[in-house]
Amino acid sequence: MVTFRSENSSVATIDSSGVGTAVAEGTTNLHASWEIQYLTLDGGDACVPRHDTTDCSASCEVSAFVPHHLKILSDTVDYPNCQDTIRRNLRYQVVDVNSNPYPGQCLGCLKTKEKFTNMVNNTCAGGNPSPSGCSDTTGGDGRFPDTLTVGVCSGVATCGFSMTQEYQWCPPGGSPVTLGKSQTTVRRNEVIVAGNSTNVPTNLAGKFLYPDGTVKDN
Amino acid sequence: MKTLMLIFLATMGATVTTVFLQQSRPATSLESVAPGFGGIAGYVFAPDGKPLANAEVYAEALDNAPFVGRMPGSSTDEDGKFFISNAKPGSNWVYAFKEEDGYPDPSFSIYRDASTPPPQVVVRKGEVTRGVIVHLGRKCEKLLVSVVDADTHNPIKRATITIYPANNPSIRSSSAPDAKGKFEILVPRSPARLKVLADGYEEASDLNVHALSESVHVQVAAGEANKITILLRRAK
Repeated sequence: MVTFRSENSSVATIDSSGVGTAVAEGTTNLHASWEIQYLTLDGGDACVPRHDTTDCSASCEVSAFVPHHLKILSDTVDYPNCQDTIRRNLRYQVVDVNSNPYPGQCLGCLKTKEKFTNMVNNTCAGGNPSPSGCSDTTGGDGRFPDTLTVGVCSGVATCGFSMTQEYQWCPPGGSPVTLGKSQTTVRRNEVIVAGNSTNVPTNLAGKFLYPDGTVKDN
Repeated sequence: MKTLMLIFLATMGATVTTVFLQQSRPATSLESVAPGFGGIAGYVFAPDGKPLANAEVYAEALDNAPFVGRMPGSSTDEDGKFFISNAKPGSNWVYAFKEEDGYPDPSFSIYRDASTPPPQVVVRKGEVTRGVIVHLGRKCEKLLVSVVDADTHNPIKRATITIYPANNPSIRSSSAPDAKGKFEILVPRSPARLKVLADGYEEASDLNVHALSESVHVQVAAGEANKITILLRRAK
């Protein structure tokens, strides 16, 4: 039987099957220990346990990354499918409390999901959008895109919907944690995210979006 | 029941007609399709015909419905193979890109390549559409750009660069520098311009992307660095 323990469970924990979970920023050691039981042949075909055993152990240093908020890497405005219907694409990256990007390079290690509240119904055709469930960030480094469009090529120019949009981290075995929140309005001719409209020359690239809905330079 | 679909995609003006054989079958025990959705399985190929690893792939539904969030997608493995588990039932375009290797997202109008249209795929709920092949368009040249203070020559960390078609500035893509303060701009085939913004600095706009690219070629031919430095003056 293998026994696992963490030197500092306020930084990272490890369960009985050896799955480690980050708790807070920091570095600690995770240990595994086990016992080897020897068997010998008894002269016939049977194995019998010897009386001696060997204790073994191994450990590794781990640095815990705890997702905290989002960096906006790029902000793209396009009219890809019809001349008058805008599509905005924001590319986010998950960062920690000090705005350091997620260092991992392992696919499937960091999942995020969406949450929509305060929905004001879509006045274009097609109904309201649905939030996605927990899914992997792409590229293994915590990046993910967010596409916003009413998706139709007809209707009045200002038709659309608005809502409070949250992006959440899906920790293994835990409840979703909000990383960024925005009051979002999507119309055929304009997309507003966290107060920034596609109808003004400024953009959100390089900004940071926080769980309370604020947008900051760092 | 096994369903076979032949989708013929003919490109306007192209001399070659691309034929995709796609098969839609129930998901196997090894394929996890999200409830209410369908799967898409296939490969991404670079222009040299080799499968491309670590490309990002996503499906865009052609359903005239609003969309907010992450397009259903995944990445290719070392064999160029991908599996999307949560595609919306109905017709979908499948796009692939790998910007670090010079392959931009072709759904962005400025990088659209008519010679390699995205495959159109029919997705059925609970089934997996297999055999989807995504051919990437021609590789784009990459411009390495630094933005610095005109007086001190120190990097301006909070600058953004926007690329837009020369004839339509309402289409645009703005990006922040990487962790080292550098920008990587993929040069589209069509005429394009750059605009550089930074708080406290005068804007630099209407920079001709292809002229910048040519100047880099001259620099490299002269044995200089393969990068562009843009100087911004402090606002008065």
